Amino acid sequence: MTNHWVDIKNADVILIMGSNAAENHPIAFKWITEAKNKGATIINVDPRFTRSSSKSDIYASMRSGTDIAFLGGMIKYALDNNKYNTQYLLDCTNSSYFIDPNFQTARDPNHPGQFSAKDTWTYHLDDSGNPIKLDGALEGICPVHGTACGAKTVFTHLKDQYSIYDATTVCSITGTDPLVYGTICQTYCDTYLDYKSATMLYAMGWTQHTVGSQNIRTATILQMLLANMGVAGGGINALRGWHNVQGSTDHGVLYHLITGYNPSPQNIWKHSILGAVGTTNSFLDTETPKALDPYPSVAPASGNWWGNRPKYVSSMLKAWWPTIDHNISYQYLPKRHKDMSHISLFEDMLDNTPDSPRTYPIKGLFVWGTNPGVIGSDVERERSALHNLEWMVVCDLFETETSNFWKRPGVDPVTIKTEVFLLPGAAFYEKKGSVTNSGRLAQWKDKACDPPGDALDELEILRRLGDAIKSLYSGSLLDRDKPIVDINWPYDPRLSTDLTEGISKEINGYYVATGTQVTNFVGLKDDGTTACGNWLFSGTWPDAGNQMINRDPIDYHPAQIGIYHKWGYSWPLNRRIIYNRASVYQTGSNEGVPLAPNKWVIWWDAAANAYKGDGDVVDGYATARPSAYYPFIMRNEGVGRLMGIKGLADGPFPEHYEPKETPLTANPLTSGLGPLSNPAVYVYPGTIFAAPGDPNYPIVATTYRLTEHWHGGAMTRNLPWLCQIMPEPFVEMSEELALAKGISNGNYVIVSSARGSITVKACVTKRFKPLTIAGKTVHQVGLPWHWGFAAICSGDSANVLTPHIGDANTRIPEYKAFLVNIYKV
Amino acid sequence: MAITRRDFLKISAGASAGILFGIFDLKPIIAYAQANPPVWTSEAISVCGYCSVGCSMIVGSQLIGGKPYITYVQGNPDSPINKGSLCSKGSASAQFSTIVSDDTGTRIPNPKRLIAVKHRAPYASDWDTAYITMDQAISMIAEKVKSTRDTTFVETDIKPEGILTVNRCEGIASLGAAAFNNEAAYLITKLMRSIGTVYLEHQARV
Repeated sequence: MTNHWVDIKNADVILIMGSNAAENHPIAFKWITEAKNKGATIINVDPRFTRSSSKSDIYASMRSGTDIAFLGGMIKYALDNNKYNTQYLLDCTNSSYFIDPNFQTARDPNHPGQFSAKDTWTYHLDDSGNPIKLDGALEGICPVHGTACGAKTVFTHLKDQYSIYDATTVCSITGTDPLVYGTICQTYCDTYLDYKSATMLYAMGWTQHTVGSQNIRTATILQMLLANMGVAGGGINALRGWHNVQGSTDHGVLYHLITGYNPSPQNIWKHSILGAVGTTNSFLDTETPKALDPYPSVAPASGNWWGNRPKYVSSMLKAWWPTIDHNISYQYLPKRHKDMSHISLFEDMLDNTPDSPRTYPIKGLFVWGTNPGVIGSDVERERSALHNLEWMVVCDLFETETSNFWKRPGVDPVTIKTEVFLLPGAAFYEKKGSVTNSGRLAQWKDKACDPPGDALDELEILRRLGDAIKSLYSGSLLDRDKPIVDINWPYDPRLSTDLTEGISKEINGYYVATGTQVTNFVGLKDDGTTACGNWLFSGTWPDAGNQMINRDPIDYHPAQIGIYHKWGYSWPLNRRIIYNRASVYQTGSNEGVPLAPNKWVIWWDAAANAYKGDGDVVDGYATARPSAYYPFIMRNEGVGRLMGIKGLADGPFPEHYEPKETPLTANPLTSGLGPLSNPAVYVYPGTIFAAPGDPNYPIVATTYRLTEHWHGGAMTRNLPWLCQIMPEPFVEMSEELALAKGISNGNYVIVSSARGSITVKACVTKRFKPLTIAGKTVHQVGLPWHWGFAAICSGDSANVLTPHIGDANTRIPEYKAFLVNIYKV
Repeated sequence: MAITRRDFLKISAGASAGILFGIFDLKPIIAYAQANPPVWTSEAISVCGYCSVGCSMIVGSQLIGGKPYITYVQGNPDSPINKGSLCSKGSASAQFSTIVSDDTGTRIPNPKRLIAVKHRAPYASDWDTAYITMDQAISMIAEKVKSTRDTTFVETDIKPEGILTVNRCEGIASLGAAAFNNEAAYLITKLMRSIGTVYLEHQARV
């Protein structure tokens, strides 16, 4: 979340799309209700009428997988009706920057539905290599080269790109009622006024698509057009899943990252050495953004906060290997050689590549409190991949579909070689430590009691495992073993005698020479004198002590916007609303005055030449006046990107593509002339899909979660109360579809996709309605996840049906839009 | 005294009927709760372990067989986020630790919780019956890590420009962390990267 849970109360309009807070983040709905009670309008867009819909002022149905069309039409509405915030766009975004003259949007008739080559997705530069922008206007002629160059501004390209996203076209793609759609466009875009804000609450309903990243990009464009970024009651707010999925992402438990959103090294020559900015073939030179500024010699400057990357990477290396020069210990980090995200990992475990001998490169697997045996897409494919392992270690509270894959129904255990260890872990209240919620807020937990029997806090399991591995390598003189031999395991003993506290202090960072804590990441160095496990959390445990345990329940912010800066600690630097420099006027006589004074976040007082007290922590450069720096300090040009520069794999602007499995045979947006589905998506060899418009699978299916169950179900299907409330899986469908199929509520039905079939109960409701898509009737059904063959309530998993394909950028699996058919048993 | 599910249903039956007819009479439940205050040995402040809202919780324990178990959770009224409330999952979460037996009406440790290591040998049709300690399991696992790492480790890649140090262990993958605390998530990254793991993922994508 750019903002945080309590901040939702400050919104004038709330768009709940791609999420269902009432059921999946129930307590967060308290703040949506608070906003509503203060007069906010709640809009909900969802394929299914959910409990969030029931609490909304406006509900629109849509076909799953068509969010870009829906939001793209809202962008066109804002542009056509002058409902965008010109001053904000000029001051805070790249709207007025010129783009490479060779760039063409997906509206170019020579390549409908696709963009010009990727090397054109860049700024148009002057002779000094600085981007060229217009001053005081969003559209016009290049001030350096005149009309000769033909370069156009981002804003001109944006208008061109969305010119065909009219309401009629959009609604023929999404199936939304055009009258309701019009009301949503108007209501939402009216927040372009300075003093109004609107927030977007999304979750996996936006990310789990082949166009997931571009769904978010579309939202970002709209929020910047309407001046809704950086302000109270605004932002792009990912309602994240697991209670510490934010924290474990922050700590880099992902193949493409190390800690604090620094990239993991790759086996490319440009990553040969750690080096420094300016060094050839250096990781830091390659990965540290250089500031871009149309006018480098005058304010505002591009703050380019990622210019600090060398300090953060070097300090992490010193935290792990403090006795080794960080230029040497950089080579201790493994260099990845391909995509190794969740789906790729399982495909490599299957080793299905045609025409090459199978070597099963992955021999051993650790599974830490997760359950791919239920949550993996095309889950039987992922379960069967586990057969190829030599060994697997699962750490969990209960037996799971993953730990027990070898004795699942339909397989003979004696044919499966995998050796399995199942280690008992601790429930969340049986251990102390911190967790980071969706609003980036780290909160400390006390330990309530010991875990039962031999079960242990996972931190202790990891410590003992690391000790055991380290002792096996003790004395080795081989270069390849040095990363283990030299590791400071589990943490620097000077920091604490307590494991959890010691690790937490290492994450905060300390001076290598003295072992005393750094105050925060501003004190980190790239010369090897500071150690810091994760720069984002630097400030959580300075010399003054643990800040995450702060529990002062008072909002000290003068405008009472719900900052609560003495409750827990929010990264970075206890800032509660990131990009908050964009919440004030940037220049002129109004400089520093908030766009919305009644719900100000920060306020620069010109007379006092300082920010008012008890505001939010100013985004970077805490004492610098607004006009000193461009507001979006994490971008190297300092402004928000309406157009993605170099951008995502699928384009610098989002474009509507059909899901990989679609009931249509032509993309209605481009009248069939452009690509049907996302051309940038990777299709794994041997994966199976229904054909476009496949008559065998005519029904659009989506998956969702229930209030009473959690993800793969291990944490809820072993608790009697929750099993009693929600005992078994089902498929939810409209009365119209049920009638057509001769199905009554409560009947058992077979749901089948190109990948497999499940038998579940039918739940016939008015919450789904047939949609008219490109002139034909399309039915949608919904299936909750959660179930499997283990635990005290069991049933078929909906993921038997879902496809093994991911987003073009992140490879997050497509769980949300696929094709099925349904038969009464 | 433990409130069994049957007791709860009995006393809440009147209230449920009331809700059905739009009359919210919680008096019987309140009276019952006042007459039977929860008894706990210790209290701690925790954060709910399901979703990412981060609801603060007060967690109470009682002694069962001389050992403390969690018997009671409630929302922390001080929390600016949840202000004392919890959802159905959070409210049920004491059941990770204990449940009330429908047969006896007494509070017992959740019988499904894992309390010891389980081991399944290759081609075995069930878990081993022999007991092993956590430390025995960890040393067996460490041996497997070493042998797998030593046979699948790639020290260098040949690139067109020359030989590149890559120090990569391709044979071991690691999934998960989001159910754990920050400190454990960080230690997974630190341990896995130090042995050379490149197949490193958690629930962010799934």
